[in-house]
Amino acid sequence: MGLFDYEATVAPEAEHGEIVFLEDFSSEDWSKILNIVETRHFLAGQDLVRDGERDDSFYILSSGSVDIVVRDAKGRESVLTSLPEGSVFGEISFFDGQPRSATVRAKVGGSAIRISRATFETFAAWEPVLARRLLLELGKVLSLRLRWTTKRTAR
Amino acid sequence: MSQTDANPFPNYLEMTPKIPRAIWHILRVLTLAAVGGVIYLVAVHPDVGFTIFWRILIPSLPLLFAVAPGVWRQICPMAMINQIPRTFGFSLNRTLPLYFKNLSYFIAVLSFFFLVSLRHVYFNKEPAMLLALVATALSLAFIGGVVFKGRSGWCGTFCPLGPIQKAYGHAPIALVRNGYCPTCVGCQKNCYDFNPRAAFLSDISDSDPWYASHKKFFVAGLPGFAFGYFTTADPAEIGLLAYYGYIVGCIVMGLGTYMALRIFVRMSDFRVASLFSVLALAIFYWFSVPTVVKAVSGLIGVAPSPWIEAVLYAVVIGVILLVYFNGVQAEKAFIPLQSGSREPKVGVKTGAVATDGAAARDLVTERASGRSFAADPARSLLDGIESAGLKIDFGCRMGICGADPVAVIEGIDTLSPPDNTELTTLRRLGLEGRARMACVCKAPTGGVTIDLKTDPHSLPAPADAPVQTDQALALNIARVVIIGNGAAGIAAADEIRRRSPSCKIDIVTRENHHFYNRMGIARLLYGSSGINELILMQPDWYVTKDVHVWLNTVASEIDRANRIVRLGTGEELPYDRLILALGASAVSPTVPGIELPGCFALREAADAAALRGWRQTQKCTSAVVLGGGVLGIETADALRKLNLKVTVVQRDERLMNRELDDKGSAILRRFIEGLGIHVVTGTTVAEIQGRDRLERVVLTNGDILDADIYVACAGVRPNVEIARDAGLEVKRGIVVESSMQTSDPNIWAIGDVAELPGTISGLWAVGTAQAGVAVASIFGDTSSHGAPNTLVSLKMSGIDVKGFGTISGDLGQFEIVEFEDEPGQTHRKLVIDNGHIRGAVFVGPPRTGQHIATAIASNKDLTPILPRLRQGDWDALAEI
Repeated sequence: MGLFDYEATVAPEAEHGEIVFLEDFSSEDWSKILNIVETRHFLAGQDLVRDGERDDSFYILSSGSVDIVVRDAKGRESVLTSLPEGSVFGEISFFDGQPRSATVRAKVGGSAIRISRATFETFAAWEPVLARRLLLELGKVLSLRLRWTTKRTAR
Repeated sequence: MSQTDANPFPNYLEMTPKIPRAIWHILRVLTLAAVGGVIYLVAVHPDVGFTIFWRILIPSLPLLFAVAPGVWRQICPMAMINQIPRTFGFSLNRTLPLYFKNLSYFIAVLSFFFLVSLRHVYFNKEPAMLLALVATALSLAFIGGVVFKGRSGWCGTFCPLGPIQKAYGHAPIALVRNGYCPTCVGCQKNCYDFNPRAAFLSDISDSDPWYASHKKFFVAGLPGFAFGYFTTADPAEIGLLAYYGYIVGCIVMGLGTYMALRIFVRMSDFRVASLFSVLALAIFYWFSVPTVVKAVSGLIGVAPSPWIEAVLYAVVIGVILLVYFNGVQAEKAFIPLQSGSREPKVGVKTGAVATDGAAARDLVTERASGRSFAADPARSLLDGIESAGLKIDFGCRMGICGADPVAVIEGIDTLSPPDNTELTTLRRLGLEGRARMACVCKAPTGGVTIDLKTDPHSLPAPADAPVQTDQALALNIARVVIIGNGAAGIAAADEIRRRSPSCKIDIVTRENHHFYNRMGIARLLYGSSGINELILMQPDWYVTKDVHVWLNTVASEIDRANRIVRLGTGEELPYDRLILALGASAVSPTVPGIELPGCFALREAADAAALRGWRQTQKCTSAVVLGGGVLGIETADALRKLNLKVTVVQRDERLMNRELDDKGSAILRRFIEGLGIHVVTGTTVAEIQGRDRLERVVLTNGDILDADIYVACAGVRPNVEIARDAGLEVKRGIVVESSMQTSDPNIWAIGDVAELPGTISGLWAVGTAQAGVAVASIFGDTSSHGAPNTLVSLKMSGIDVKGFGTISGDLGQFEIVEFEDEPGQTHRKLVIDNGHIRGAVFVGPPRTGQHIATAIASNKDLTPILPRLRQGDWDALAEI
């Protein structure tokens, strides 16, 4: 909630002040996704996603935490931000199929579920209703991050 | 006054009122009365009036603004007048027009500079002008209240004292709850009465640079203005032009300093603004403290103590430091809250995607990539490898074809033991004891390291094979010719070499490739590595096994009398024994137009390559696949991946009608249609139309489908021509005995071309089993074993479809155990004959049908678990 938002007009604040992805999915709905998706186990220091790699999937971090690492023109790496357990990332390449724009490196080992385009197609064939919601929600994530970027560019 | 500890920026609704409304009412009336008194004094005793107004009351305000601006905003007479229309309900409650929302601050700021500068000219000395000013201000405040809603008609917008309150009070020491707004009507942006601590911060860091610049302009100009005001000469003496020149010059110097600070010093906008606000406050009181002290002492007629000024200066310095410190603290708290300053983090509810949390010791790790997956006694390594996102070829998923060997670097003893089928395959690949077939091997516990690269040279040497006697020498068999390099032909060659190191083996094949995974040819349509990913044997296999393969060579004649195979190239291959593994060809129904370019039949790698070439040279948007069997569906799926609009035409009412029942077929159909593949059943192709190439496919039901590609996957016909020409007994296929021997005692036929009553042809496992039987028979070994229980599975990602044996027709004598655990999701059916599986159907989500496959392959007696199966407990199958 913004500092100047009048209480009654805004939605209740999400957990930790963050946006909850697919908040209305029940545990049965989740288990339907989990039946189909891939699970990646990783150790600290391993790359889940590599800059420039072609891979049309997005991830949800089941456990552990990751750093988003970017590379400057001289090839030096720097950590842009860190994402905690539960985070959603990689949705840009999921939508446009273009190479990855950053590296995602495990800070704390754990596991992540990976949903590729093909996996999504499968999921949509089994569960069209849930898939539609998933897609809209993922679009929301993309819009949210785009808005943030727009705002930052305008600043 | 209140402040929530947890929230550094409470809005007025979150503050608890500490001072009762009645007290505020009294204070407001008193203030209004005081204003009346001052007006009276200015009018009647101007000297006293001016002193009280300009030298005591006005100089007190900045300090009040800095310490508790809310107090003034509650009792300000202009505010009170402004709120009268709202309180008594005659305000028009108009929304402030957008241009005023943007411009009002500018108007207020210019009015402030202008009116204050006029003090030296008029207001400090002419009572009438001061009275006019007060009257005008009160009137405008009132008019603003009549027209505009909330406090947008004056207090937060046009009031010239508004900007100075926000500037000095940018980090209030004490908060006072706004008592004028019972509910917030949202009348203005970054309202100072709504959230006093955040208002100035939000203004300065607003995303609209124009809006934020107004606020910065005011604080940047304020110290210069204050300095100019106090140090100027009397305009009466120097003239208005010089006076304003000086004032404006001072403002400009302040602005310049502000800009210089922004340019050269690494300080946030807010810090600089805060610094300039307190600087203005310091300048103001540097000049005002002596004036106030003098004025008060003059009024009460007492000479001031020399300490008074020092004490007042100390108070001002204290307030300044406190305000600046408060501002710094507020900024720290503000940055993370500022909307958009931090990347929005998006996550799922805690535990929503919790996986089984396998610890490192429960993992199977792939050496080259370092990727891991959880060990699972119920899941094949192939499933695990795929779930970890590693790329691996696969074929039959039954351990027969040999497409997916993985080297086991560590923990081979903890893996599920290989069955005969898998051992045969591993032996053929030369990987026995060093690798496993991923599709059938399971890792019940972790600590296993595998490697997807299985080059035999890079692996430890295999255990020494037992020395064998050369069985061919004893039987005087020196030369064996095999026609056909499919699964049956290669299995035969391998088995012969196993029995005889010396026997010469020639394989003749029409095809241009070494033995490849025919089940994967649909992948040639959309993949990029061509035939390479389908090649099943290492290139040196043919060298080490001393098997000569005649690629791209037609066997044109069998001279049985002389035991010679004549090749199309003119060469002759004499044989002692001949094995015909000729395979079968695709049947494309002969309908009018079938000769048009764009019509294909899919059976061999070359067919797939031709289709791929056509698709790339023609503008293809749609395809029709004839045949709703395994190959038809796999082909349709491959074409779908090329973004073609695909229609599957199936003559039967069900997809995979030979392997599936109604329910299973319905689930499969819904899944396929969900992927976007169009399915029409109960009809077939009547005619192909088009001018120079395929354009339309006409169905027997009258439908006309636009198509750029037509693929027939409608069954096969054994390649019997050469056998028939040679005079062998041929019906549909080459007739063989149970030993796979044909009507010629020196010739055997195996695989799809062989016709053995009671055997389903077209299956990989059947072909390799027949190869074993045939070679055993060649070497006089009659202890031949028949084909293993083999199920048919659909090789398509996203769904698990398996069919086996008898599932339809007269099943009256068998028990049928059927279960649909989630309507429309999974369908399982077992046809059980005396405890043994006679037929089975499985359709469900990916990787869920493993138990059934294992149970069918093992062919064990299910009687002990039948009661559990009847109740729908299918996990019981895993325990058999």
